[in-house]
Amino acid sequence: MIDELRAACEWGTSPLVFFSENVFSPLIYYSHLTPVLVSLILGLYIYFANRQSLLNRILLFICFTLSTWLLLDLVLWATDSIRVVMATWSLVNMIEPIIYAGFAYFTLVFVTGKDSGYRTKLLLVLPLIPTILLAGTHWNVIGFNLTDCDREVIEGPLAYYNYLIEIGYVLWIMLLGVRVWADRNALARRTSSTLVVLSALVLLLGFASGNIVGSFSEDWAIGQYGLFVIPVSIGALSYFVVQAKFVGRSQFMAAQVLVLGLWLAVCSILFIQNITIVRWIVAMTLIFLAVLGYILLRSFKHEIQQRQEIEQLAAQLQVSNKQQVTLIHFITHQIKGFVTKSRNIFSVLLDGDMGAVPVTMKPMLEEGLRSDTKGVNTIQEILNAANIKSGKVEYRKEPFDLKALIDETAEDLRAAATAKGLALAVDTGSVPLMYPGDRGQLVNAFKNLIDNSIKYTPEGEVRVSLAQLPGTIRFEVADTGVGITRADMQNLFTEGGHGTNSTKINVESTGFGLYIVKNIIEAHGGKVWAESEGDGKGSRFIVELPT
Amino acid sequence: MKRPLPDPFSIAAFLVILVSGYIFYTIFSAHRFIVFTSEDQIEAQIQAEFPLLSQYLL
Repeated sequence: MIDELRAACEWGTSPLVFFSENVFSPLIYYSHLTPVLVSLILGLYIYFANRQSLLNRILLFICFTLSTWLLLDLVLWATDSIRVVMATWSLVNMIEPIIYAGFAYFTLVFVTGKDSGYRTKLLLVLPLIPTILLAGTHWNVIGFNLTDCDREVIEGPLAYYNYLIEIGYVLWIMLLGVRVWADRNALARRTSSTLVVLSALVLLLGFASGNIVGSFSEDWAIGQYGLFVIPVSIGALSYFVVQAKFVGRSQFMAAQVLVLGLWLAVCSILFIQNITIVRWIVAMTLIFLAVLGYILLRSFKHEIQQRQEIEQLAAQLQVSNKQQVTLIHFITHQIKGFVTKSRNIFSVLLDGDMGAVPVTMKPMLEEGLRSDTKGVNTIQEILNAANIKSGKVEYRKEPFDLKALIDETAEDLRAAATAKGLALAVDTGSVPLMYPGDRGQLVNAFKNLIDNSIKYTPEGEVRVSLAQLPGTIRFEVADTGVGITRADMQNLFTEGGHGTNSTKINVESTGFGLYIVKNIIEAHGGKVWAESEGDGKGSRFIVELPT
Repeated sequence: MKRPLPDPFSIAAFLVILVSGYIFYTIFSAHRFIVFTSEDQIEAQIQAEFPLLSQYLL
């Protein structure tokens, strides 16, 4: 009975497993073998580019499983053996949900940037256990249907369960897409994560199109076109994987596959369209696509090479910069030691500790002491700026009276102002202003600001004020000095930023003073800025510290 | 020292290989599979094996 029915169906034989006249159109080979070839080549290439990367390993697993499914599906199209159909159908049903789970795992690892926890892995695998364990039973495939000649099996309830868990995995991937947009920490990878989620969904949709379209239209051939999105989507996924961990050659390879995938997709029209004019148009489009693809890939390759060169140079520059900074720091430190020693010698001599100093020698010693003190201060300023830049400065914040600090600092500098014939007015109120900050660092900052005003004011006055405002303490130092031009204002608080005329007035200026001030104030959560109506019209430096 | 839990993916992969072997054995060596030659046979088989789900499978 079975042999009679089988003979009546007139199935073609398939001695080469995949090839037989049962495959009604070359399109089937094209739609199956192209994604197999592309995904296997790409999966292996990506894997060998970086074997340690988890994403690369998952992608290889997906490519391998997907290819197995496609080859088994091709066997189903070609074979005339009832046994082969039974075995292959059972395997196809078992492998299909595993591919979905693979994509769910892949997108999870890509979006989160790390491997998932044990529980999440269990959550991904547990739904697959019934599918795997029952794959060899009637729950999966009940038997071969010889009532028609469609070479089909009668599926058990497990097939519906498989559809359900596949929908579950798709929802999982969709939720990951939503999470990408909800998570503020994932901002940097938002675009690539979204594209990976979309690529995975498009691929699964194309993959499932055979079942979906076939179920609704009973035309199982139309669904085959969906398989063409597989090489394109795999290419896109590979592109994002290698972009996440930049490997120039792999990125280029992924781009090549993308172009090839598009070309192959267009090429498929030749297999289904018999109208000559359409074939001509397709052929012309293919030539155009090939030329365009070549130009695109060439420019992309060029861009990758340039990017690699720039990155290499940047890395070299960073190393050389670091070495230079270390060397300058070392030299500065050494010089500071020598100058400090020399200053101490002048100081000891002037104090008369080594005996009385002849009157004729005293002015020379005083000049030496003055010069060395300036030298030590200058070196200290450069060292402070270097420490701030390298993040070595630690701020020890404790409450202290800010009013007293400003009063003391202004008093210390009064002599310098008086020597220049300047009036120094200080208005810090009458009540103490307690502020939690690093007293030593703030002394440096305020001293720098007042000292600057004195240095850059040839005549007139310098006014220092401190006031408690709602939510903030405002310090201000205003002068009738040289003022600041609009152009100088932009570089004022930058590292080594000199004003146009500043070095003429203050020859010892390192250009680091205001840079240090800005960093100290900002480390306290405050802000500092300057105001001036222009050249020769005086200036005002304002500091606001939050309370 | 606490023994690490087995990797769920490895267990799944092991099961897939095992079940694949079982499928090939039952079909190619033990020849344990049904070939339906009539619609009635299909209906009867499903009714017998999955009475609760028969209306969905038929």
